[in-house]
Amino acid sequence: MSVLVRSGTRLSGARWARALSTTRVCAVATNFGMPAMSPTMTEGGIVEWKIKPGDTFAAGDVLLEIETDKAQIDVEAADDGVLAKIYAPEGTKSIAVNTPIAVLAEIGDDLSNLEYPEVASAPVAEADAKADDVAETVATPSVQSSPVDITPPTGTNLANAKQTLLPSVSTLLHRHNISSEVALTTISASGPQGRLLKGDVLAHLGLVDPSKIGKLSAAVSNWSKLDLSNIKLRPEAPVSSKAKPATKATKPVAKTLTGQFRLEVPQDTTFSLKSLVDRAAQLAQKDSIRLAQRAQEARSQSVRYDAAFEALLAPAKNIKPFESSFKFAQSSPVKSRAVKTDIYALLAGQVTPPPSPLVDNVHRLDVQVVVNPEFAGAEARAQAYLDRLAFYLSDGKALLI
Amino acid sequence: MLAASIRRASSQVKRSALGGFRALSTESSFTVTLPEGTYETYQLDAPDANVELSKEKLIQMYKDMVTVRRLEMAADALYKSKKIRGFCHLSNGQEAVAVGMEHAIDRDDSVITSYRCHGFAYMRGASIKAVLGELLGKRCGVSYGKGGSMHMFTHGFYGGTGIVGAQVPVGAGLAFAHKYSGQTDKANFALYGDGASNQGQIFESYNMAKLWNLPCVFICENNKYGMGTSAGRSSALTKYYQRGQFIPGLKVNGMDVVAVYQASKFAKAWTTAGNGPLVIEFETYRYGGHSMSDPGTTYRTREEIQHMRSSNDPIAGLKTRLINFGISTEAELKQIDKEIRRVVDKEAAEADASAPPEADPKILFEDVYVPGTEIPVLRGRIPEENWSFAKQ
Repeated sequence: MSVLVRSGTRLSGARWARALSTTRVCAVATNFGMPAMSPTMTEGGIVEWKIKPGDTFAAGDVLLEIETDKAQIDVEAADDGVLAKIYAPEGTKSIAVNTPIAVLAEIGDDLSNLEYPEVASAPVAEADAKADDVAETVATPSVQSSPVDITPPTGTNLANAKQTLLPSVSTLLHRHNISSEVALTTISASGPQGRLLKGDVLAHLGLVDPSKIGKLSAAVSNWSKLDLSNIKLRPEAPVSSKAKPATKATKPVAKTLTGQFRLEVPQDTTFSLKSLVDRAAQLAQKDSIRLAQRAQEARSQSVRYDAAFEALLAPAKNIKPFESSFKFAQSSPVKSRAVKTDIYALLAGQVTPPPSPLVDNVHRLDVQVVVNPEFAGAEARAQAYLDRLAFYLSDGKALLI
Repeated sequence: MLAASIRRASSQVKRSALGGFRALSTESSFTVTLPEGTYETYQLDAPDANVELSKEKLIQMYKDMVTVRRLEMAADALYKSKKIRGFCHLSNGQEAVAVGMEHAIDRDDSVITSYRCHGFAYMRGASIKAVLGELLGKRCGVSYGKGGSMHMFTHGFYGGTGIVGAQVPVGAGLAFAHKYSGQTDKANFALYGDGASNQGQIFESYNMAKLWNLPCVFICENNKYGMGTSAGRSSALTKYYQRGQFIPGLKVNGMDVVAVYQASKFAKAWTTAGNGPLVIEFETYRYGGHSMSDPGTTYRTREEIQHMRSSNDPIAGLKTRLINFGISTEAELKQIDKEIRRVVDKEAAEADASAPPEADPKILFEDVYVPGTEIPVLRGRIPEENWSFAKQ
């Protein structure tokens, strides 16, 4: 079939409907209640009516948009029809489900002559819901009580006649030629809700001490609930500002190692100070790695060494154990550095000595090594690096060139 | 069932404006010629495109489809007024499958389908009140108000299965039962959706059905979306009729009730002739969401749905045919629609007003076993809930 034919049918349908409507004096329209668009929806608001009163719609057309506490949803028409009247205008909030929000009529119905269905107002609907709730609450206990046979409480020692015997009990009874009926009437039960236990039968047969049964069941009933009677509140400890809770953020803090070196650059060298320090840092870095590898090898000799475990502990390749930064104190003459001294500090004897005077070819190098706290053994490596750097900048200076 | 005056079919030959529709009418029998492209086949010769149908049958098909549509609309309205709770999957748009199939098979053939089962339950013999009563959880329901939407059973109808795809092996078992008990003229129709078609158990059923040449018709109701996922996004092969591999397949336009009728009749003849199983794909479309919680427009456009409604609707399609054949007129069909609407509304009101099952253990346990085949004691969750059939 094709679209053309279908639309043709529609048209003729509308024509027929019109023809039919003239024969009817009045038609009964239907209330359109606030639909529950999800099982949990109890009320909704109207965002927008997509059609006006008097408009016709086809099945599947969007009638209106409603909003719930969760979402905005389009409400589709289930059938072809006409919107006769709107009860709840746009913007109305909190309309209970099933409350009429509009009146729908069939296509061709004479709207001026429409018989409007009775409108159950919102309070009535609410009252219905409440009545339902009450009915439910009333019904609940009876539902709980009816299917289960409540047996007399424990302590009466009467066996519940309706019970299915435990396998251990029925075997024992069978072995001693006691029928289950006799057992249920003669043997006192110590289990919950009159359940016959193996111990009861053994006590009945005289195979165990009957007094033990009482003791055991007393102990069990004692343990069956949480006894809070002997619980005392802990006295409130005095709040000390010093005792900080140990629940602080557990992110490790980066540790910083510092070193200060005094460098004397020979006048005759062609190397700049910067390149010398870079070279020293490079060598120190290599040495620190080598030392770490050597330590690793030494560990691997141990019987406790496990390559797989070590691999788990090994840090990711792109993480550096530490970052070092250098700062040169410029070889500026002392004379130009006019140190201002606070007069009160001077009188109080709190004067800090001025930095050591620097000569033209003597430099001070401040090294700062920031240790990565997430890298296992990083601090040892940083320390080794600093040590080696000190070596290259002093005794091992010759190795740099 | 419905009082509707049907004009006698004129004996003259009617030709519609469309080439595909041609009715050669005798006094009461019409030959419908299905349009090109109704069938696609796989290792199979297509069924005859000329379908002979009586006027009464065509009218009845129309009535049935409108009833199923109205039934689903009533369920939708009851759900949205919170009278029906829980699961509810509607088949608006897919009516032609349930109706066309039922008209082609016998009451004693077995049908088993997925959870989208209201239309099938009605077509297999459950009353409107029984179906709606079941949805409402009333004693008058087809499963006495204890099954709900997914669990409806009648004679020759084995559900209504909540587990996706699990009905197909059961359907193969039913086919085996037909064969084993010598019912050579009976076949099983096992339906599943395009979403379930990727389940392993369906292929296991194919294998056994072919291995033992069971009279089983595997029917994939392809409504294009498995929940919110389109067939193309979930299936490597969307030609579901070719999924049988070693089983011949037939793809049919599932929006045309006459095509569904012809294909089902063909399938019944094919399987009961001892040719083994057959895979059928009914290409159809659901207008609503997957379930009541799905608005159905987040994974497809509203335009697509409205296009399918206006161009492919099974009811409108048959209506056009009935009018073109001169079997009925627009006004008569409208009268039928109104009558059916009245009947469904009445039955819905009756079902709504009827009583729920009593909260009594006797009623709870009454349908666990066929009467006379009970075990002495049925265990409950706790010993106090044990139910003794022997003591009743």
